[in-house]
Amino acid sequence: MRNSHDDLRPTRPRARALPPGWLVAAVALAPLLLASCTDGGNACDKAPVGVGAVATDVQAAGDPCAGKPVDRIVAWFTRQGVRYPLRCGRRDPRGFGYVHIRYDEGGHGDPVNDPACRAEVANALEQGIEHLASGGTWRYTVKFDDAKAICVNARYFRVVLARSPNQPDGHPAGIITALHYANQPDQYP
Amino acid sequence: MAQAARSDIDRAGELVAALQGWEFPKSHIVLDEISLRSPADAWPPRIRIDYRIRGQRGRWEEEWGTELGDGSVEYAANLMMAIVYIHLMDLTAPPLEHVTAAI
Repeated sequence: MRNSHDDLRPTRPRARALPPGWLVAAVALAPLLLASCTDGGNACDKAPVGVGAVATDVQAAGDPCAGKPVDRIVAWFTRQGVRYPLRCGRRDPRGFGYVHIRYDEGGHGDPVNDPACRAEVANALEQGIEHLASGGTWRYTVKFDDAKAICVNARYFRVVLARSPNQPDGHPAGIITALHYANQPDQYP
Repeated sequence: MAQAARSDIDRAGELVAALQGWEFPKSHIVLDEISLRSPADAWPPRIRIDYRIRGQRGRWEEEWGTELGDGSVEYAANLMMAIVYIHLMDLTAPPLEHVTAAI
């Protein structure tokens, strides 16, 4: 559906769209950010605390889903004390889960091998604004402050989570996707 | 074997039945019709989704398969619609190939 890409290297999370006027805003905020960074307050060094995020295959340097079934669980995330899985999923078309997040649409990030990305997902689930998507699926959206937005070149982060019903393994589908947005998503919060 | 085939027939039909009336509330996506395009005894099923985004028509026809798992039809329907949702949620119009297919 959207542009896929052939570069299979793990990537930093990328924003879905380039924001208009971003350069102007960056220049305007530069003095503020420089002051912040020199104070040791560099927001780039302060990834969200990834409470509840456990990557079951973090020791695997490569792709933990290579040759694995779509429903294999590669990480766990927690929202309000309930654990939700991140499954391997599949690539586009009909992409979802870990391999979709990692590879499709230019790559949104790597929630297994990249602790910062994993922390973003965990933070969005715990702190994000909750909104029903459909059926048993919900979305969680976090808006970054200016310093964080400059650091990650994005303004928002969203996780879409299928919380119910359960698979035969006793757990729901879990995280369907996670991605940054440069601008406010069309559907927000 | 005959039992497995019967199960597949039931599963495809039940899946499409479970998708009827599905909505993405408070979004610009309207699901007009979801129909089974493959033979009743085929699994994975080929499913057509006729929808609109901001009034513009799109048609998404795919063969859905192993990603829907071996669980309940309810699970398959929810996962399928979650996948459809993430692929449409940020669009202001259907993708060109969906627009073309809808004509």
